[in-house]
Amino acid sequence: MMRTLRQLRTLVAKDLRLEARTRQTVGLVVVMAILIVTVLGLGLGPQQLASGFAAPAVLWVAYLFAGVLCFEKTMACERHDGALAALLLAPVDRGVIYFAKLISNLILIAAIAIVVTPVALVLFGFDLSAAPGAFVVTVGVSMIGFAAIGTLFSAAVNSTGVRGGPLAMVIFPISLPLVLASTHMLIKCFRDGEPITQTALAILIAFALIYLVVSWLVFEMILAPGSE
Amino acid sequence: MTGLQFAIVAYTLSTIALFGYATRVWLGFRSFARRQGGDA
Amino acid sequence: MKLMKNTLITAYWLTTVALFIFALVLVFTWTPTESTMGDVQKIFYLHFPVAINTFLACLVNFIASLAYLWTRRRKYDDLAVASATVGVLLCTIVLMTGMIWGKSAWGEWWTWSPRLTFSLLLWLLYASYLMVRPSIESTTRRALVAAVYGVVAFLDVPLVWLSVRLMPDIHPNTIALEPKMWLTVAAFALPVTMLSFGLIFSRYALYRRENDRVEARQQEEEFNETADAAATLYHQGGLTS
Repeated sequence: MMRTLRQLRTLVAKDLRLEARTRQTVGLVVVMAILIVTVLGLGLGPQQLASGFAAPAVLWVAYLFAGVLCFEKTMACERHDGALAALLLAPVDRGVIYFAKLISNLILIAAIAIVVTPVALVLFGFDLSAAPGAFVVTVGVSMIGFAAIGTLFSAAVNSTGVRGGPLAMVIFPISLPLVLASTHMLIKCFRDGEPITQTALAILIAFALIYLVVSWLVFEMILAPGSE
Repeated sequence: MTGLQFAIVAYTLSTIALFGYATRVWLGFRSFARRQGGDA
Repeated sequence: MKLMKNTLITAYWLTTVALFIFALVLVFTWTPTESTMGDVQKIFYLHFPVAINTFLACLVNFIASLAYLWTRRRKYDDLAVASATVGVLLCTIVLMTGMIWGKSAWGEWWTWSPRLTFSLLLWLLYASYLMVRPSIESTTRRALVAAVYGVVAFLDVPLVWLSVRLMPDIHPNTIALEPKMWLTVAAFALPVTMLSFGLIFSRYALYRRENDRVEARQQEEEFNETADAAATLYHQGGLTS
């Protein structure tokens, strides 16, 4: 158990150190997400913006695109100079590699969300003061599910040398239930002023757990030797 | 348009879609057989 | 043997077409008109069996994907593509007939009701399956990614169902049908099921024939290369010793 934790910490630290030194992903993705928010804001026009309830949808679009870029980048660095082959040779369980990648992705995406969310909230006039905790929990849980799927498929798709489009095509449809459930919960909470119910939250947590377990199980098959 | 007309449109389109795809597969077999030179 | 197989296949398709025409005639001449919704309710007799078969096609895709992950044999990948293609086709018909019904019943082509959204998401899920495939060059890699996607997508279906239930519903939930109406549904269910499984397996058979050739050619090339290399080595050895 301690051993697994130590391995996890080493792997995550490696990814984060890489990001801290190159500073490629977060900067690029933050600017792109703000760009998406701006374009959507311009497209929707002042009438739709007045109510502020476009914000959850706009935020999700930004998160989805930012997430895909993020997953792609963290996996792409493994593809250079046979880094992945070396990683696979290390005496580490494949499941640990999966969780390490997942945690790095989550940290990166959280860093991006911390910058992008306030920008979108201000631009779209979305009032969080009623239930900031509910917002953070809902978005956080959905992010875990989304990153679980994203990490799995970034390992599968990226290894083919195909970038951008296909990864998004694979991740978006699969994570639609999460987006749907969480936007609904947010709209209900902020427009109708109803508190987020235990059942709704339980559904969201169940989604995230299912995605996590399935991806963790399947991940081993994707990285299995001889699959190339 | 009446309900019956809507229904007829729906049935026509569905039939075309289903049997259109069947024809496409069948043509696939035909062209495969032709590329093989006869015997399918 | 081959002649008998061909006769059976022809008989299968002729029966399917005959049953389909029979069901069509039944709907428009024999089946009573539903009292509240009127003639447009006739769409239901096709809509419902096709919807059921969409799920069956997705189930075949799931099983084939699992079988591919388990055995890594190309034929299961072929079966998975064939079933996904037919699934998307059937789902398109479900959406189309549903929209025509909606236009007539509620005056709108599209409403964000749970079941409509569900069919749309299902369609998107499997349409992306088909669209992503060609973008991956290596055949084994493509089959692997597709199989993983197929498994996850099928497990995603109940989640989609749960999440759309959060939306307000106007779809007819329970439809009281007379015995004659149920008979018509059954009369459509048979040819539609025969048609969809016939389509899946003939598409699969076509893929098998095409890919068998490709694989045979690849094997032949590999054999030739190995033979050439062996011959070169042999001659080199002969010269040096």
